[in-house]
This record gives sequence, structure tokens and C-alpha cells, in this order.
Amino acid sequence: MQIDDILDLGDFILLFVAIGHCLYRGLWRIYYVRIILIYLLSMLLTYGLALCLVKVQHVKNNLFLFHIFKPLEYTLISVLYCHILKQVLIRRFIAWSVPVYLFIAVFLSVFVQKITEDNAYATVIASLLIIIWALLYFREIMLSMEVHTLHRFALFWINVGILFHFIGSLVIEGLFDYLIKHNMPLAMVFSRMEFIFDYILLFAFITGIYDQIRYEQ
Amino acid sequence: MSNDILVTAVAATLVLLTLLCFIIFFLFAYKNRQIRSLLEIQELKDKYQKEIIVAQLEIREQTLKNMSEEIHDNISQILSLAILNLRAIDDIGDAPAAGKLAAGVALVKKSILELRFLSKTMDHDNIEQAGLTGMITFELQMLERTGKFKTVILINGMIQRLTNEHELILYRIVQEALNNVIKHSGAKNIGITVNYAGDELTVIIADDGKGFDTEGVNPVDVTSSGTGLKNIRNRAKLIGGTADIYSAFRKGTTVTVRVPLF
Repeated sequence: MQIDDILDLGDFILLFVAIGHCLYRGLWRIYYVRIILIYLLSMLLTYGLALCLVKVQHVKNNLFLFHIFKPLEYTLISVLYCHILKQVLIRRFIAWSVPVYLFIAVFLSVFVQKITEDNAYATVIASLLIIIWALLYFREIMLSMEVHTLHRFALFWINVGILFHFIGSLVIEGLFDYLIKHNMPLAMVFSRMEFIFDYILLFAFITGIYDQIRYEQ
Repeated sequence: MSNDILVTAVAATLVLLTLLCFIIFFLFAYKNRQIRSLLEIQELKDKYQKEIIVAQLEIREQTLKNMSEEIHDNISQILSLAILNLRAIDDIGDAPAAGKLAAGVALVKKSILELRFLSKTMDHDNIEQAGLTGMITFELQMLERTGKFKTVILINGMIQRLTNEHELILYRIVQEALNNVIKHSGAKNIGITVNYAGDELTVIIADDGKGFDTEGVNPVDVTSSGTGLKNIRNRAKLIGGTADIYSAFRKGTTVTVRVPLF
């Protein structure tokens, strides 16, 4: 078993645990958990298909899947922030950013980085926007002071996970193309780092959903 | 290959450490802000409470002043008129009624005197003239005149004047404490000690009454004597002082008020 296979396995295990947490005792009935559940399922489907295509079908390029997944990912996370943020102006801005981003992503996939290439530009734009939403949410938590015990607040952990995952995504995707051309060993390290950021996201989701389960009990 | 894994592991560790630092920093910053916010709320509550007490005191003082003026200017005049009328009856020269008339005149005169004393204790302008110790002495003299209490006042140290507001509030505290003694204690002896020591003024009001259980008094119940005790504490707090109440069954009660002089 290669190191990449182990990392893939870890990713899938965490995905299943996170999905299991969302489904525990009908927790998916809560709106934001439902969005996270859909996000996790889309992640599972994309990663599963990508792995199947490479390992079973021996397809050499599965990047087209991520041209579909990225816009979907941005939409779901934007819907999540639209739901949890309280400032109307920011919510409106996020809501408007979704169709604009979808248009840009499609435009990039058709004209700039075709579906056989890595969609780095679309990923960088999505990451930047999501980082801003996450920071705005932290600001809102800090200013409102409505949360009594922050480390037991589900959305705090979810937000931490999203923030770190997309900071990682921004750095990795931003440098990946350059590193492939100029420093292949470092590019390999960066590709593995993507797993670490995935783990952070999934761990944070599991922690957050677990806090929600404790809160419900 | 192993070098790749090592670099990945180091990078992952760095990322995780950054994440950990971020979480710890955010949690601490949030906690700090939470504590500051709670302190601010408490400060606002205290300020609000203080303003309410000041407003209550101002209303009370104004009411007392109005009543005092009414007693002095109106009721005393009516009673003086009554004396004149009674004397006019005396001039008619009905011998059997003369004794009763003289007694009546004496009673009305006594009423006028009592009312003037009462009027004096009510009007806060008098405290400016007589000072705190003068007004406390006067208050005790009034109690002595009822014949129900023996009183004593001890003044230690050199008398220093406080601001009018502070002296008035202290005087009202003494009045409240004496009121409790009259109403609830069944005491025979009352002693007040006024100590001017260094930068602190201490007023001790002690009685030999039946006492009470200080733990058992409910300060929230407006019908109980607890309201009086709460008022004493609140007023002392208002002028930057403290009020301690010591009492036990059959051992009397001591109210100690400490106020900074400067």
C-alpha cells in the first residue's frame, strides 16, 4: 500500500464518520447540518468517483470531476454562510456572489483551464471568497458575544475547519501549477498537504457536529 | 521517498501547530472580551442602580422639605391661632374652666414645639447649619423627650465637615437606624459614637434591644425590616462607604457605617 493510498483511506474513513455524525438521531433536520451533509455526500461522491476512475477504469485524467465539484462546493458553503451570518448586507452579498462565481467558474472551465486541466483559478477565487466569509463569521461571533462557551459551539469548529481548509487550498492551488513545472518533489509534498487540510476540515466538522449532538441531548 | 514523507510530516505539523495556535488565541480573545463585556454590564447596572437611589433620595428629600415647610408655615400658625383663641376664652373669666384651658394651652404649645422639632429634622437645609453631629444630637434629644429611651452620643476626634450631600445621606442612615430601633428593637438605651479618625469617619449606632437574626432577614421583601437594612447599605455605598450590621437575639444591634473623609 502506497502512502497516497493510506491518505485516501484516511480521507474516506473521516468522511464516513462525519456523515454518520450528521445522520445521528435525525440531526440532519437542522438546516446547517443538512447543508454540511449534502457537502460531505458530494465530497464522497466526487472523491469516490475520482478514485474509481483511476483505480478501476484506469482513466488517466479525472480532473473534470473537480470542475463540477468546485462550483457545487462554493454554492453549498455560501448557502451555509448565508444561513448562519446575521448581517443582511453580507448575506445579500454572499447570495449574489454565487451566480457570479458560477458564471466565472464555467467561463474558466470553457475558455481558460479546460476540463482536462486543474481548475486552479476557480479554486483560488472560491477559496479567497470563502476565507472572507469565514473571517466575517468570526468577527460576528466576536462582536455579538452571544455564545456562552465558544469551544462547545458547533459552528465555531465548523468555521475553523472551513477557514483552514480553504487557506490550505488557496496556497496549494495557487502554487501547484508553478511547482509542477519547477519543483516536482515539492509539488508532491503540496499534493499530500491537501489531504492534511481535508483531514482538518473533516475533524472540525466531526467536532462541531458532536458538539451539536451534545447540545441536543 | 522517505525524505518526501519527512517533509510532508514537518509541513503537516507546522500547519497543525498554526491551527492550534489560532484556536487557542481565538478562544482566549473571546473569553477576554466576554469578561470585559460582563464587567461593563455590571458597571452599567451599578451606575443605573446608583442613579435610581439618587433620584429616590432627591424625591424623598424634596417631599420631606415640603412637609417640613407645611408644618412650620401652616400647621404651626393654625396652632398658634388656636392658643390665641383659647386665651381669649380664658379672658372671659370662667373660673371652673380656667384650669382645663391652661392645660389645653400647654398641650397645644407642646404640640407646636414638637412639630417644629419634627420640621427641623425633615428639612435638609438644617444639616448645612447644624452639621452632622449637631443633627444627630438633636435627633437623640427628641428621642429622650419621649421618655422611652435613654440616649448617649460620643464624638471622638476633631469634627470635620463633609459635603452637604454626604452629611445628609449619613444623617438619613442614622435616622433609618434609629427608626428601626424604635419600631422593632424594644430597646431602652441607644448609643451613637461618631469617630473622626484619619481619613475615615465611623458612625456606630448601638442599642440594647432584642436583636434579630441578620441571616434571616430578607432584603427583597418590602414588608420586612430588611428593606431598611438594604437602604442603609445602599446609601452608604452611594457615598463610597460601607455599612455593617451586627445583631443576635437578646444582644442588641450595632450598625457601623464607615465613610471616607476625603
